[in-house]
Amino acid sequence: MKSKLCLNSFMKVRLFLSFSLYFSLSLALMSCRDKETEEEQVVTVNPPSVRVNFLNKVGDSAIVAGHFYNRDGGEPFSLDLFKYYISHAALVNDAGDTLYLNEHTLIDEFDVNRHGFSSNPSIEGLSSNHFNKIIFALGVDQLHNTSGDQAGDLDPVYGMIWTWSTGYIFLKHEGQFLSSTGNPEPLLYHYGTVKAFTPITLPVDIHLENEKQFNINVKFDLNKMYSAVNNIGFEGNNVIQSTGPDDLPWILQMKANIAQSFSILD
Amino acid sequence: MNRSMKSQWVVLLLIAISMLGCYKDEATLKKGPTPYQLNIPTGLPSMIIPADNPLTVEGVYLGRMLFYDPILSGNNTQSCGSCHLQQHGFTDGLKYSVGIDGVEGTRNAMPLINLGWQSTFFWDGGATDLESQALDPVVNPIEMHDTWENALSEIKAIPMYQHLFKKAFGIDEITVPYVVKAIAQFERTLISGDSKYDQYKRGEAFLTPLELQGMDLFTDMSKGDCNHCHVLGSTFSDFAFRNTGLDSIPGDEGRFNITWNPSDKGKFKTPSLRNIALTAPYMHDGRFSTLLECVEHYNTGFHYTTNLDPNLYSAQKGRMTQQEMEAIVAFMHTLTDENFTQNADFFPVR
Repeated sequence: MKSKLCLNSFMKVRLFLSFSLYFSLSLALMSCRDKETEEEQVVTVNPPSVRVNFLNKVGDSAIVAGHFYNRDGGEPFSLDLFKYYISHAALVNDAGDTLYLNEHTLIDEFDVNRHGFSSNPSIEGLSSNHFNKIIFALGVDQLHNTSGDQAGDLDPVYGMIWTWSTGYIFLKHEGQFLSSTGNPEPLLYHYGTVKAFTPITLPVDIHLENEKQFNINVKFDLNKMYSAVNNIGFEGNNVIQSTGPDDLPWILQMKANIAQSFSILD
Repeated sequence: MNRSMKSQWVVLLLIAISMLGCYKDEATLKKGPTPYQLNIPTGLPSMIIPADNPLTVEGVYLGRMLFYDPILSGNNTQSCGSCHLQQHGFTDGLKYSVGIDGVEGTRNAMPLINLGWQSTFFWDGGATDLESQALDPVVNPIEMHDTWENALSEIKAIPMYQHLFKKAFGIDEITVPYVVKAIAQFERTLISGDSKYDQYKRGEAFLTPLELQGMDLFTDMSKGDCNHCHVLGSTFSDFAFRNTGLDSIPGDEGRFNITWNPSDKGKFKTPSLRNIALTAPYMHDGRFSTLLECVEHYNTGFHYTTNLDPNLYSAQKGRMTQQEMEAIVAFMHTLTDENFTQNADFFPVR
């Protein structure tokens, strides 16, 4: 009797163990199968892929570091560094809906990986898929311009921030210009502050469709940046870092020019 | 036990162990770093901490390491702690600090005390949060004269930092924002609220008759009138910007350089008076070497300059006697907190 009892409990334990083993194995298998079927069932529709490229030029000339470019009504200049922030780009459709494409992107002429940005915006539920405008701003908006503790393209490691008076440098152009005597002199322009934030609107004609790729090529013309509305003379005016109210007239002149410097390339 | 049963046991055990392993990993990840319990002394309000940089034990420790690490300077000779010494209330006793290239600054190094209650940093308030403040000295040519690119690559090259950043922030890739987050976390723990004055307020110490007289004069609007700006108790400053008439024409335009507002010309941040006896010399340019000189300035020395603070403008010159000024100085000495200057939690990590 005693031994039978022993055997019984032994069998029970054994049965229990077998059961638990198979149960847990089947559970594991089930969870694997679940994932597979879920993946099979989802019919994926890829939203349109929109790529916005920024092509920096002086007039029609592409930029080569150290090369001197002529410009309208002013001294020739070169570029060793040319960077700027483009923020909150959006496509606007016929109904006035906005489709945001980025937050803040650092464009760096001399870094091929920083010539634009890509986005996959969902067009579900929009009343029109025809977009007639692209809007964006040169600069960093006020909300994001009050702390350097920010990641991504706003990371201070890119040197596009003033640390003694917290705020992002919206645009940096460093290079040289040829003075009236023909000598190369340093040119260092750091453009920024709240007053420098420059919104831009450009016309486009795009029907967005799922699964398709779209390229928008935006030209930024430095010739216009220095002459479109106000002629910016470099001589005696060649190092400006937006550091005080004395720089405000320059900031506002640049802003008026920058507002006219972007265009869409076909 | 027969063989098949034995093997079943082994399989079960393996499953159990692997499940336990998963559970443990997940739990550690979910738990993250340990929240740091700030011990806020009575008299000070609760600290407002940025939501994206909560204090953690691991973050504060990492910040402390970075604060004392000279790799943040261009030639690896100076750390934040080089000019911010604990025994001086985290300033350096110099009129102007000297950077790695031997160049003197143009303003007196500020003490690092109760920073968590301040919302702007530097004498002119140019930095809008503590994290952003830490960005400047590292790259300032007359201070640590490094680049963030270089400092970051040096930090990344140290396996200990890889480990500490992972523990503090759960990140695999160290970036500049996390470096300044960590430093700011450590700085927020630099709390002083256990001076003789605080002990007196808690009924644990007595003030001498001279100190008590000084405290009365401190708040007396016809005498010291210190209380208007260096609010008694709590942080001993409202941290607002004021022109205190140091010069008839200010050589350093202070707050104006930040706001470009003409009414800010010659204005500087009102510093806290906590541990003030340890942070000489005084004023944004370290022009006064004693506290008595400071009180004399507010009694007789101030200039009727544009933007002079209205409280000073209406204050009568020479309203205090020598004895009264000395009493105020005696009271200011009661704001020295030795538990702050000797707090081992703020020492360099060794």
